[in-house]
Amino acid sequence: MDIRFTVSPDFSPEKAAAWGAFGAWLGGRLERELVFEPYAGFASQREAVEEDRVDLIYATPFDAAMLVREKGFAPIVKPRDRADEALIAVGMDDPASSIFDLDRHAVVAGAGDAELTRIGLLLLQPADVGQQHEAILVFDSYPELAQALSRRAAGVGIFLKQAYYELPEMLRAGIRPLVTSEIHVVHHQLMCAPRLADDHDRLRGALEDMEREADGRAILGRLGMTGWDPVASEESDFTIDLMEALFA
Amino acid sequence: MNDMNPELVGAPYRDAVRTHFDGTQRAIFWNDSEEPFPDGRLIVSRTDLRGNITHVNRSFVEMSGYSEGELMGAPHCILRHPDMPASVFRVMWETIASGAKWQGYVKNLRRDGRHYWVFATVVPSTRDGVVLGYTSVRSKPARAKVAECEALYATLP
Repeated sequence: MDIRFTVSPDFSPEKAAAWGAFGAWLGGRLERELVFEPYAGFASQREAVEEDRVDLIYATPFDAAMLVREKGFAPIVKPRDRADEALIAVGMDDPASSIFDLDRHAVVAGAGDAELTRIGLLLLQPADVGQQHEAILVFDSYPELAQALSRRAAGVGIFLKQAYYELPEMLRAGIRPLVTSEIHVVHHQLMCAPRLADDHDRLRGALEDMEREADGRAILGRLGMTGWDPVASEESDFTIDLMEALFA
Repeated sequence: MNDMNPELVGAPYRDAVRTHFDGTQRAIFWNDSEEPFPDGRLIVSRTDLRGNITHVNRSFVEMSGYSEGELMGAPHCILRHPDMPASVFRVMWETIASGAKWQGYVKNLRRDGRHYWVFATVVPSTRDGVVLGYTSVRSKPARAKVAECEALYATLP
């Protein structure tokens, strides 16, 4: 039985090959065919999840609630020392030095991760920027969002912090960060579908050992990670509660 | 809950003994100094059904001035500032106990007697339809809203 593996579409395009190598490495450890199926955007990936075409997913914390509560997925591991944060950015030539310098009517844009965008809007709330939620522009990817900011097609951009710093330098040269969230407790998680319930322990064991193997360490390095830590169910529950508080 | 330590509070300060909903009392000390809420910070926490803290993030610890060990298991009212009207918290508890979300502006008392304002969202945390506790997210409030609340709260019981 093949394992269909995917990654939240907020990773840098340069990391696609590394995720492919990760899939091959993990398939080898599990002695199973692991098929890497990347999706171009959040909408197409969520459609695949909805249609039960995903078995293993490196998911945003914001998708975790849906995956656990609606699809019965289980969290397995999270990347070490890598909390997910929202980052507010503007075009390089924008004169604002803080959110309070922004035009209240500036066009706010995100990249399809509605939940991360919600956190970004919380950061902008004290300055009353972007609080008309229906007016948020949505781009398919962070590179497109960065391009829109640098050519002033949008005034304020909401990025995943990690995705911002993984943008190609050429794109990052046209934008700059104003503020980053400090939540500290939400992370991407590697999660598996109910049909892999018998494989949890093998998966967790293989991933926790990954940093101790030379080839595993090399792949982790290409992904910008140092290792995987297990996710306790209590920690996962807290993340879900937090997401529900943000969206209630 | 232990009394606040006046040696940690900058003078001049005021003091009072607060009686909580469960009849317990606590000596509190406070001054007029405000700790600005840093841009980007989001304070998150979860409590059990009685309001005792079960989860906090680093921002909660840093803004409150308490250690994580002091906060875990303590009632959330450890942060209760005497300027906050009881009626605001009564409405909050009635709202979340009914299963609904509550949002409002809250002036919190730090361990060092200073205060910080937050915009708070509190929701019931449910598992299979059963409420197990409450989760809260606090963000930086708009100053205009803080000014409105300062004036309003002074008139409330």
